[in-house]
Amino acid sequence: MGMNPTVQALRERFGPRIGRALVSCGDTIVYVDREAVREILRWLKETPGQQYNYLVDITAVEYRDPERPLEVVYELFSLDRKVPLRVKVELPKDQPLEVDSVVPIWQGANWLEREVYDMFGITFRGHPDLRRILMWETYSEGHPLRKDFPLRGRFSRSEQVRQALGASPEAHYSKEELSIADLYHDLPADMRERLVRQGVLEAGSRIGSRTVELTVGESGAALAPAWGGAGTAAAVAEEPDFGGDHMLVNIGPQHPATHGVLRLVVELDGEVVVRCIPHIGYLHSGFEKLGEYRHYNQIIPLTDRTDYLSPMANNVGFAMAVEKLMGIEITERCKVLRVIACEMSRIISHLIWMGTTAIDIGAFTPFLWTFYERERIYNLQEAWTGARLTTSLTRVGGMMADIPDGFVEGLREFCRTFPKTLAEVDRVLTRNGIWCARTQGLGALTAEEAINHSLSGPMLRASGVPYDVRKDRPYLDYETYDFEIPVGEHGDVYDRYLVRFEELRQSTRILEQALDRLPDGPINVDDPRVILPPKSAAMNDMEAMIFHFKQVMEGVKPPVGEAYFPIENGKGELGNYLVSDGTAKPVRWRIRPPSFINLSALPKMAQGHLLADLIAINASVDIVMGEVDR
Amino acid sequence: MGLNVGGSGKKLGVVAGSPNWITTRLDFLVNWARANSLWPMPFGTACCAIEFMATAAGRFDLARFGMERMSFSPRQADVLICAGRLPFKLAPVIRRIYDQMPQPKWVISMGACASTGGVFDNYAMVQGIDTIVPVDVYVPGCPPRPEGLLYGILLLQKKIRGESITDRSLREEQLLDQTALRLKPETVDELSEPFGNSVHQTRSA
Repeated sequence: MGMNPTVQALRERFGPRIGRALVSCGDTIVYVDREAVREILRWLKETPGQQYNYLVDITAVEYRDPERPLEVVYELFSLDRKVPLRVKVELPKDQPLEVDSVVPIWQGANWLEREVYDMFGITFRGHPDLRRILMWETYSEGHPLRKDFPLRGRFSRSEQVRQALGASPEAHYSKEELSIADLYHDLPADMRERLVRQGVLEAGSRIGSRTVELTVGESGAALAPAWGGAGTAAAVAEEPDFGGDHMLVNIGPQHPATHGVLRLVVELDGEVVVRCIPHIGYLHSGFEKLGEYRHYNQIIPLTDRTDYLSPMANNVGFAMAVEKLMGIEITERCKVLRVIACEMSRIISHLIWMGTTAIDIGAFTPFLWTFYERERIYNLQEAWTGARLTTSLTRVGGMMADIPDGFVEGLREFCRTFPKTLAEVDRVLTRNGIWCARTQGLGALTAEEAINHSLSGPMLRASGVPYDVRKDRPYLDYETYDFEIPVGEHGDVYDRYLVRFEELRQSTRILEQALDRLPDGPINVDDPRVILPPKSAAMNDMEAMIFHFKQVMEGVKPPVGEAYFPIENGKGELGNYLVSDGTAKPVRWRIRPPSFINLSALPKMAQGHLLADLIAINASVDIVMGEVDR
Repeated sequence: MGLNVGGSGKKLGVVAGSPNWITTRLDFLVNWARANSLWPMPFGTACCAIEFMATAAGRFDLARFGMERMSFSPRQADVLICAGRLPFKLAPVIRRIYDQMPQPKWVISMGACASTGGVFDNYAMVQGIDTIVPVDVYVPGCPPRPEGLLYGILLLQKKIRGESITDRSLREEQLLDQTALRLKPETVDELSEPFGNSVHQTRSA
């Protein structure tokens, strides 16, 4: 693939502010001037003929060479023209690590930039709410993804435990929560007393000196002035005084309806959500840092544990990113088997969503049905990989194992009988009055808002945007399968349910087609650089033994370069971004986490709805905290 | 010694019309009641929580062991099941939940991450929840199969049957300051030492 013509257009428009451009693994990368990045990205988004209207990801890379500058990476995609573009900004280490925020252009950049700030210490000028997001606010060891940060942290383990326990939930009750409480009236006496004891507050002082401009509304208009700052008195005076304050309710991080360790701080006016502030990072496990210390094939077991609701799809996504980096073309049988793995994963992921969401809304029975079907997939998964959940199915250049005897028949039987269960769930839920009342019209997002928040997967399609990676950036020959992409029209919780429901049917169709066309042949490429020789050859043939030794001891070594590879998993666009410096361990392994980005739209969706509906809206996002926090 | 109905030596619940009194050891009765109606507090964080849900669902049916009543409030819970990894950010949360549970209480550490930190030997992860709260049963596996968890629960029941209510030290509340370490710092460091293959994975290139 050649250079993206946009680069030429950029050079004509911006001249010297466009730096070098190169093509790596088919992706066009263009370096731009750090001072002009916001202007350039806005131009790319809004200019007819370019229309890079979808911000896929923002991340940063630090190379092992200490002289090399840090890079901030903007992955863009044009939904109209189906063209990707990667824009980079270099930040030399001897200057302040600062760059303009792009939140005014894309709301979806909000959490992405906070994560880069948290992990790399890069400041985004003009960001409305630049705080740590994954680590806690008083975390004092530094920025974990920097190369000078040791894998196990700077402090001893006992010191880490002591500091972690010291960062008790009240002690770092976020400043914006405190300011909300303070703007109206004083804090409750017990909370004030506790904060004084913990040294957060001085006795007798008021707290909310910092006006927080947390952007919840559109186009960067901060909500805080509605109640805060100089306008406080007026805003309070306008509202009828029922003798009550706005109430702060804390939900989580240990709560059955938050689908994991998510913490929501909700400001309530009566029962109506005025503002919802998600706090994440309670399951931050340092996947991306760990990946930098492992060989490529050793990372595959880690990918099981990010989105543990669809492990096989994660395995496939990562292996394909490495294969893109190395330019490996996998075998036909392997392609079809990977399609089977991806679609099985989509089914179990949507099933658990359906079951747990039904529980949240008050229907227990669908949970038992969907778990029954999950167990049937688990049986197949276990026969294939040996594990129910942590599958580690793929290897670079192929698969860990071929399917066992009886697998095809078992999967056919599943495809035959699964629609019956679906029909039962359909009968119980789809036209159920309670279900409709609890889901319709809630948390609606328009297509424009959904794109602006960088949503993907069923969340985006329920809002009427027919973007599916399987159709729009096809991989594994998905373009040759006959299936439909369901699209909603209201963008509410009910439409998300319908979209996922239909995807379950479509996935079953894809599985049947894949089984029909499953060709014979090898599952692994014939390439001794990446695939281990058969055991008998390794024991008898000197050359095979050397390849075996080199691969086990040194690992797979992709050439210098970088690749971004997206797949469509149950949650949305799951991207793996890999940067290689020619060694066996990646310089950077970035997961583009679909549910992290989908969750970042929750404050927007929850606003103005009832507290009980917040639970339904949160459930509709289909988060999995292992992937949100990584 | 079991429950004797009406002094007849027959086991409880089998004789109709027998005298309505029983003799037994108090320890036996208390432990029998405690072991067979454990209310779990599912502290599910990651992958293990999915297997925990599978254990509670139809196929493995946790209700067979008197545990179907999930107690999402620690105030009404008996056994804290930590299912999944525990990052440092979550450490004060599990400590608080444990402190909020009334005695008698037990802890099951489900899976490799909860027990030792698992594959996550890095800056973010507590290397075993026993550095934060005391643990009764460790269930190995990544994640453990539902059968494994059930076996762990049966082991816990066995442990409970061996307890005595006269031994007050078993059920003493150790209310620590929220920030205090439960173990000596040297012990925490020693428990968190890298082991096995992970000691070789400290270099990134």
